[in-house]
This record gives sequence, structure tokens and C-alpha cells, in this order.
Amino acid sequence: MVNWKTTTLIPLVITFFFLLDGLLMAIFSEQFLEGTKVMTPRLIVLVLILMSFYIPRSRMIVYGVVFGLIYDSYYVGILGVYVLLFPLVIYLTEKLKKVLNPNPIVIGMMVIINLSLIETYLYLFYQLLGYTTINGATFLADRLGPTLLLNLVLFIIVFYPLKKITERIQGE
Amino acid sequence: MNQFFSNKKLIILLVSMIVSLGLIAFSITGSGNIPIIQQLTNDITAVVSRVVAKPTNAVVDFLESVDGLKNTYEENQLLKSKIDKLYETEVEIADLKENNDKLKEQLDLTATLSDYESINGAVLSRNPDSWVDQIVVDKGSQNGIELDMSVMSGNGLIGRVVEVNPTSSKVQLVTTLDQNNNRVASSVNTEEGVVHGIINGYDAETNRLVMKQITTEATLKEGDQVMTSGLGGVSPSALLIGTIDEVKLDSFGLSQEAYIIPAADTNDIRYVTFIKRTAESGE
Repeated sequence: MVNWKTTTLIPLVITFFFLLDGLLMAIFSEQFLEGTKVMTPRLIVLVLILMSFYIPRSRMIVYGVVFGLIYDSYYVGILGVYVLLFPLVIYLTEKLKKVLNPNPIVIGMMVIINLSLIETYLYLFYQLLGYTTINGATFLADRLGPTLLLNLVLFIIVFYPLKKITERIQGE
Repeated sequence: MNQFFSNKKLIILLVSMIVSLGLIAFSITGSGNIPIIQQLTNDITAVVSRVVAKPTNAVVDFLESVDGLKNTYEENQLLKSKIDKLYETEVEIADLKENNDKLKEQLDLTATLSDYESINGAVLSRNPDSWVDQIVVDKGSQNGIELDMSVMSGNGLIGRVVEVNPTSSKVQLVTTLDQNNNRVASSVNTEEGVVHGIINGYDAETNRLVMKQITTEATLKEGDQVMTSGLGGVSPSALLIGTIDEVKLDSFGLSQEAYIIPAADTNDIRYVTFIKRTAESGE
């Protein structure tokens, strides 16, 4: 069942969180970038994971590709990174949701798994390109750890409002 | 063979990997000049982003002004003591400027390296994953922004323009990890003359910029001010970068390295100034 609500409101919600990522980084960069430690807000990934539990896969993959492309183009300028990662995250979540039931703790675990995957991929990618020379241990301590921590906090904050919004839009 | 082609998932994965790598190769090689479609996407996103950023900026501005109100009294006392000196300097500068103009006229100099025009812009968003430290600003080619322009925030240099769209642009900060294409020609005025070097590197642990390739004969002091030299071809001269904190020999012992405390806080950028050099680059 595709009605006007799902086709317009869902992309709007994703867009809002997509922009919120960049805005949070601009305003709280003093807190997020402390010394060599880097925290990355990934609200868009939280939204995509949560929505995969309610919206059919075929449509979520399309959202993943579209927002991946916009993310690449708007924030980084290197196309082809997130456009691969976002659909992959959605696909993984879809596969796992069949064997797990969607309670907050399970979804929180999925967030951790998916974010670790994304951050590791990005680390390997930028190292391959020669953008960074930090070693694996530094990456774990300075990037992955703080990022997971921040996103768990963000997840706790946005989980219930977002769940309610998605359910309301989907008309369940 | 049949077995392989019936495996639809593998083919989809392979095709998407190839497409992704193709896109990456395409966007890395095409430095700065991006296709119209991408420019449009960026601009539309920037327009929508304004809807979210403007109210937030207003709130942050308000909070900051409340915060500023608290220490107004102390600041006022401090400023009062400085203001007398300022008048003297103002008169002196006016005199020097007049002299300078007259001398330029005599020499038939139309544009010098230190002349520039400035364009102000507000920060819309910052790249959340800071592998590439970039900000998106709400001014683009329609406002006169060009590729490679220097960008200041507060009173110091923070970066350069790496991508221009019609109504928005991307600025890469000097603190970015990728130091391969991040070089600023800089100079220090000392008592013995001008010392040149290149800002290329950022020490995240101590939040200091690194100025490299300084001749060993130069004697730099702690507290000396580092400016752009304008010899790189894109930025004008005499933009403040920071003050020297520490000077030592580089790892090969062939030249000196200076660690610089940046004049601008790269972690608190909400408004920026684009610097357009009026002198031609001579390319």
C-alpha cells in the first residue's frame, strides 16, 4: 500500500535528519572534535536502520541510494562512498530483522554493528586514497569508540519519537 | 558458468561495486569542476539546509549574546585601557595609508599583493565524518566566489574554497587530514627581514599548524606573527594565520619547522569571509 503520506513524509523525515547531521557538526564541533578524538553524528544511519523495520526493502534501497548520492555530493564531494554504504546497511538490517524481533535493545545492537561497518569501510577507503596515515589502533580509540558512544546517546534520544513518527506515517 | 550467472545477488554486488568505484574515480580526478547535475543537487540541498540552519543560528546567536552579557563589565574595563592607544594608532595608520597611496601613484602601481575584496557568508553545515574537514557556506559563484579563494573566520585564515556551486560553496579547512593539496605560502616579519615558509600540516593533539621549509639561517621567536605571503598565487598577502609557539629542526635536520597557534578557532566557525585578491595571479 503506497499512499501519499509515505511517499512524501518519509523522504522529508530522512532529509531533516540528514541535514541535522551537518548542522550538529557545525555547531558542536568544539565538543565533537576534541584533540585527535573525532565523534561523528550519524542520525541518517539511525533513521535508515529504524525505518527498515517498517518500510519494504525495495523502497528503502531506493532511499538509501538517493540519500547516499546526496550525502556524497553535498558533504564530501567524492561520489560513490555512501551510495554503496547506505543500501548495504539497509540490506543487512532487512536480513537480520527476519531472525530478530524489533525491540529497542536489538535495534541498538544493529546500530552498533552497522556503524562499525561504515566507519571501518571509510577508514580503509581514506587510507587507500592516502588521505590519512593513522594506524588501526588509533582509529579504534580515536574514531570508532567515540563515534559509537555518541550515536548510542543520539539513538536513545531519537528512538521513541522516530518510532512514533514512522508508525504514524505508515498508519499502523 | 550457468551457476555463476544465476547468482543474481553476486552480480548485483559486483555491478554496484564497479559503479561505486567508477564514481569515485570520476570525482577524484575532476578536481573542483563538477558536473551541472551535481551542482544543482548541492544547491537544492543547501537551500533546504538554510531552512534548518537559519533558526538554529538565530538561537545560537541569542545564547551567545546572553553569554557575552555576563562578562561585559570586565571586558569594558579592559577595552577602556586599550582605547587610548587605539586612537593614536588610527591616526598613524591614516597617515601611512595616505603616504602609501601617494607613493603607489608615483610608481604607477595599480594593484599590490595586499589588496583584496571580501565577501561574507554563513556556514550551513559541516561534513559530519571529518575525514575531509569541510564546511558548506551559503555563498556561491553568483556572489563572486571562485575556486581556491582564501577564507577567513574571525581574524585568521581557516581554509580555501574547493568547490563552487551557483549559490553555495565548499571550504576545506587548514586542519583537514589530507595535507597533500593543502599548502599555504606564508611569511614571518622578523627584525632581520622576511622569512618564508609553507603551512603544510596540522597537529591535532596540540591544535597547532605546522609551517615547514624554513631556512635554518632564520631566527624565529615565540610570539612572532605568521601571515600569508601572497606568493602562492591565489591568496593576497598579509592575512593573519597565527602566532609562533615553538620552532625546531625538521626530522631531516635540513630546515626548520615552526608550530603555530592558529588565530582563528576552527572549531567555532559560523560566519566566514571570502577573500578575493585583486592582483592578477600572472598565470
